[in-house]
Amino acid sequence: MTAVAGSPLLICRHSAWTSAAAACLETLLTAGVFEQRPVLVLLDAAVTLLIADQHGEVIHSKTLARQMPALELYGIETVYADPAALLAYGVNTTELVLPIQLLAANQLAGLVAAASTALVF
Amino acid sequence: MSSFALMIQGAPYSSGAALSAFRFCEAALAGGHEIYRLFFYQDGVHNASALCVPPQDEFHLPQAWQQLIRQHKLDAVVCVASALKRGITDSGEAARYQLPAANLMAEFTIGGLGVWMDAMAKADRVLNFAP
Repeated sequence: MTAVAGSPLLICRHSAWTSAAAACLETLLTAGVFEQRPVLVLLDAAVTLLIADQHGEVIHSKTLARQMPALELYGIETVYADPAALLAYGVNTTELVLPIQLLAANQLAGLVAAASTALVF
Repeated sequence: MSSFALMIQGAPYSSGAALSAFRFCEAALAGGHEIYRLFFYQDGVHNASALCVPPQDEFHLPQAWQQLIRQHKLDAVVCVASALKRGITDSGEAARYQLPAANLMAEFTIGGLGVWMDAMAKADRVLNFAP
């Protein structure tokens, strides 16, 4: 909970192949550049951003998951993911593109309350 | 009195997000609050198009934004990357990319995410209207 206190919280619900996910990452990185120490929460299809070894070029898309390991360089150290979504999308948690924290039941409300701003994508 | 920054991510007629943002904006201004900045992001940039012509019996949301912004002298910024990607451009960007026309309404300006970061830092409250 302390990681998000006073920081912007960005909540992404869309898959790794969407403009919404790209916009979320763009905003996240910009907030990182402005040293706001943003926190990312991945819900629903957004957990596909954590899957390693993706090849977006096959479907004429950017591979957004390749940006994920760079988040730490922008001061983004906390990424939460919904365990139910990981399970639903068959995401293997032993082969993720970066370390995550599993979102506990009812934790999201506390994160939103503690954040300076919550943006939903 | 509070100051609000609004991020609008929905296109005018694809979801209720943009209309909700507009109604909130009207109510906030009527209540004596300040709108620090409107930031139109992703599909929200379509709210700034001068080329929308909805049927006469439907609410003309882009025109309503235009009038509200003009009346209250609001700072309305359209994300440059989102806008160009979706065919919304001012005359400067149209010239830069050698496009045949510009369609951004004069009440809006084009800017980057840094402008939004400024709004997040300075407004009392931040609201996000997403589809």
